[in-house]
Amino acid sequence: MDPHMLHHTEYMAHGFCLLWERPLVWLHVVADSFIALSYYSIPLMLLWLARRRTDLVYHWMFLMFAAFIFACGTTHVLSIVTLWKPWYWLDGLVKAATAAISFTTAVLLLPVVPRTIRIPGTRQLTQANEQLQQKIAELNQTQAQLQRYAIELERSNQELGEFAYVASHDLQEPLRMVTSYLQLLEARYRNQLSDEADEFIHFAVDGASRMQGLINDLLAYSRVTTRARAFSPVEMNEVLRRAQHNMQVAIAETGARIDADDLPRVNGDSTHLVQLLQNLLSNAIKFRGKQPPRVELRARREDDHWRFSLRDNGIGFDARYAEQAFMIFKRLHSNREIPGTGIGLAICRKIVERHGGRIWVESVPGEGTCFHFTLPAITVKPFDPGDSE
Amino acid sequence: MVTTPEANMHILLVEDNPGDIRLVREALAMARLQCQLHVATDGDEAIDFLRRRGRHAQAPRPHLVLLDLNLPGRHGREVLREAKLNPELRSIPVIVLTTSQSEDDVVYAYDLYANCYIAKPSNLDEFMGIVKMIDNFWFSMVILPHGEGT
Repeated sequence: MDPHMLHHTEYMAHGFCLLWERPLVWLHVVADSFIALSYYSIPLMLLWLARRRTDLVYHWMFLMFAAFIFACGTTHVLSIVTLWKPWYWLDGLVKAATAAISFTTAVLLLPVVPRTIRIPGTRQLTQANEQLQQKIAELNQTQAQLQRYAIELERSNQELGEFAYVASHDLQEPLRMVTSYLQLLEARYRNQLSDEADEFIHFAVDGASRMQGLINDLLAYSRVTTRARAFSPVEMNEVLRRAQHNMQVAIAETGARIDADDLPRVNGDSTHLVQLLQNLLSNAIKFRGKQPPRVELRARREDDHWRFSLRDNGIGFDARYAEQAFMIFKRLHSNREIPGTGIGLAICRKIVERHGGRIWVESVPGEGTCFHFTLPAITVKPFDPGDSE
Repeated sequence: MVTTPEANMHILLVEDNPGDIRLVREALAMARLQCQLHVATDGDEAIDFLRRRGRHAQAPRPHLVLLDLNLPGRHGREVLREAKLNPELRSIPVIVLTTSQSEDDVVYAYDLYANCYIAKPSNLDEFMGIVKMIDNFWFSMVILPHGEGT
């Protein structure tokens, strides 16, 4: 800056205008001093605030304000200086700078204002917060209620399972007496009574033993839940081998042939899975046609599960009854045609559903039946040589 | 008159169901097993019999015990514990013969040194078969300690 500007002698100090009247000069000095002091302290506080609250929207606005107020403060310092020194160029330049900063700030502020108005205020925020709190409380209440229902449902389910188990177990005791003594009667007095009496005894023995069968099945059905074990990786090839081993007599007697893919590993309860395949195999053999049974077991990956399809060349059934086949004690054939109680497929469904899967059947009378079921695949395969069982 | 080695075999049957008691008797008769069947109808009586107390003071020492688990009063498990934790009685074979197929009962029975655990079959022929097998195994095939007590 040109030093002439600072020390121009042609101008008079501002004090001359005030006729150097001491009280008036001091009034200006004190007032300007306080204004300057305040204007310097406000930017400091704004800077402090802006530094701490980096999350503030329009963070830069605070910096602009700080600069503009600082500039204003400087003009007041120069007002004091010009009382004694006629540095009006400097004064004017500082004012011009202040004007530039102020104007920029004002222009920048203009679009900010309507947007700032839209920023929710503390009261609105408090209100919204209260509403949220209320919603959360309601949600918590609902969740607690749901949890109570879940616990209640689980308990009642468990009770039902236990009831079925106890009922079927305790029912066996008196039934055993009926069966045993009818058989004893039959063994000891057969041919000593009339033919009619023998027939009556025969019907009673038959009824009692069928009831025994039903109770045993009910027990087996309820055991699916009461004797459930935790899931672990299961080799389905091994499951099939065990199911075939359990069925070896029926397989040999009927000349059944079982052709299976190389089966995957799934996540499940191996005992139940053996029972599942065994029931389905036994179904295929039981409902065979005139040809020796031929069973194909295929496995296909679908998303996060495996779909198994077990196809036979048996007598099949009308597709209308496909859903009924899985109902407990529901039979599609009379006892005279093919003996059985109708629990096998109900157990299959219970086992598959316990594994989070689905079971369904397709069938054409005279052509055969195909059972499909899904089991969860093992998505992450941790290396553990001892986990195949 | 009876000279078979089983003639003076004593079996203690601990069973509360008269139907089952009769069945065991019938089965023993059919198996032509020459033995004396003693019956205790509850747990307390079974323990009295084994310890020869009260009205069983003159009771013989059984060669074999057939024990039902679900008994009125003291449970069959307690009878088993009494029999197997007593040094004088523990050599008597105890066969648990019960309707219970509960895993807990099976484990518990063997933990208390039951000699074997048999679930009562519902079929008469199977029941007879089991009694015949008990006869064959425990009174023909196996050598049991004799002469103690009785």
